[in-house]
Amino acid sequence: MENLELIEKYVTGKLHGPEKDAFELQLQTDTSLQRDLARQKQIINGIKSARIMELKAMLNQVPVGGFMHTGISAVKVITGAVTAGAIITGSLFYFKPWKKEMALPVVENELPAVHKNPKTEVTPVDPKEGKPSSVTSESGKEVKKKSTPSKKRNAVQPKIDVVDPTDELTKEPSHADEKLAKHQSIIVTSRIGIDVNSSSSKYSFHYQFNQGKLILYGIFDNGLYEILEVNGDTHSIFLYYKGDYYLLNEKQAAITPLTAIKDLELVKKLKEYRGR
Amino acid sequence: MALRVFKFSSQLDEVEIFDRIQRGDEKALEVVYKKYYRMMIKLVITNSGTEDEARDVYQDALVVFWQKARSGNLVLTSKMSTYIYSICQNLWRKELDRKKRLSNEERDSPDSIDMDKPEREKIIARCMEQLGETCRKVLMYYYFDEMSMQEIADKLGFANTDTAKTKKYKCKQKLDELVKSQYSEQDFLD
Repeated sequence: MENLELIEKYVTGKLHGPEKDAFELQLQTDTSLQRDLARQKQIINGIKSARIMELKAMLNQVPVGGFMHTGISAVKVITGAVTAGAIITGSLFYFKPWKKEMALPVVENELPAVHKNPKTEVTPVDPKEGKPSSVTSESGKEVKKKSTPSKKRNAVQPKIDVVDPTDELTKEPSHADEKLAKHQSIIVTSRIGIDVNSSSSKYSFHYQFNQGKLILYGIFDNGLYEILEVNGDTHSIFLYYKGDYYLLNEKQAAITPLTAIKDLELVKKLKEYRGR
Repeated sequence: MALRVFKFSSQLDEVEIFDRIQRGDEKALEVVYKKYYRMMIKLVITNSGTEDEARDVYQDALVVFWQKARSGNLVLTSKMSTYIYSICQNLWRKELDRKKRLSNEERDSPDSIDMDKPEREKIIARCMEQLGETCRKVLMYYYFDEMSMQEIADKLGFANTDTAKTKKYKCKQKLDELVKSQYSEQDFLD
């Protein structure tokens, strides 16, 4: 078939410029070309699906211990996640790096102290809602009470000591951990519901909040964006995408362009938060 | 006999693993799968999922990771586990949304599910099975892994890139014919 090569180039995104325009023009009227294109799309998708199935079958053969028999230290993850939240909140509010470029509520001149073992309320995902909840430090008020005297603020650098989830892989769970794990769920994901609208021709890299749900506009690579929530006296939300961080205003109901944070100090802190 | 030992104790090892994945080393992907299995499974299980669903999501995430790494456009700015974890999170979130939507649709209009698409996919999968092993691999490496002709030639032991090119052309032609023989023209128009 003469058109086959052209169709294949088109399907695999290798057809550009005038050649692509001419092809699309012909496509509008040529039903035979439409049929061939539809078939080629199906075939190439079929080849891709076959490869995905093959890779998954290969992974299925890899011997792994059953999850339920091995367990993971729940206490450590909970403590780590909450401590991380508190410490990062502390460090972010200590440096107040966004102050230069963003109008967020002003934090009083107090440096939050870090709780070693704060109480945590862990909420499982509501399957009806389909939204994962987040670990939220309830220690906001207590943190304020136990603030460090302001004189020491310049001398003290908040120490970031977050639990690395990979540590779990090398340690056997204790009996107490297993017992706790039965009663508590550990959620370390964002609680915000997210929709991605990639079909809008008008908005290519925008966002809005609609009834508490975050809507991202644009072609976001499959699974490669992250939402970071910082809980403290105020609640801040950041988007991480392709190496840049973006502040998301929860009150922003209008569709707004995403603008990367340029404040290096804030970016550094967010990077540390995310990296751990 | 030289043995290659994969370790994750240092950043260097992770770089090596990632490098191998970028070069299409499936063994390196297996190592990653085993290493982070518990962590990723736990993510889904503690968020209303079953172990089967968790395994499925984790495998899908690794396939995404594999494809991204293979594309050559992925630069890891965080630990590999952090990156894969975030893919799992997003995939599971999508799956929960899908399940929710599905249950709503079933309630609203039970007959609205399109049965044609999965059927077509099955037919193409059957045609793929009818190709020889080498043909299947050539096509999968070319279209999914986006390997160059040189990489395909190296991986499958062809003499040179011309052989790989010819093989790819003939295999694709064979698949097209097989598919055509099992479909009516109308089947491809929705």
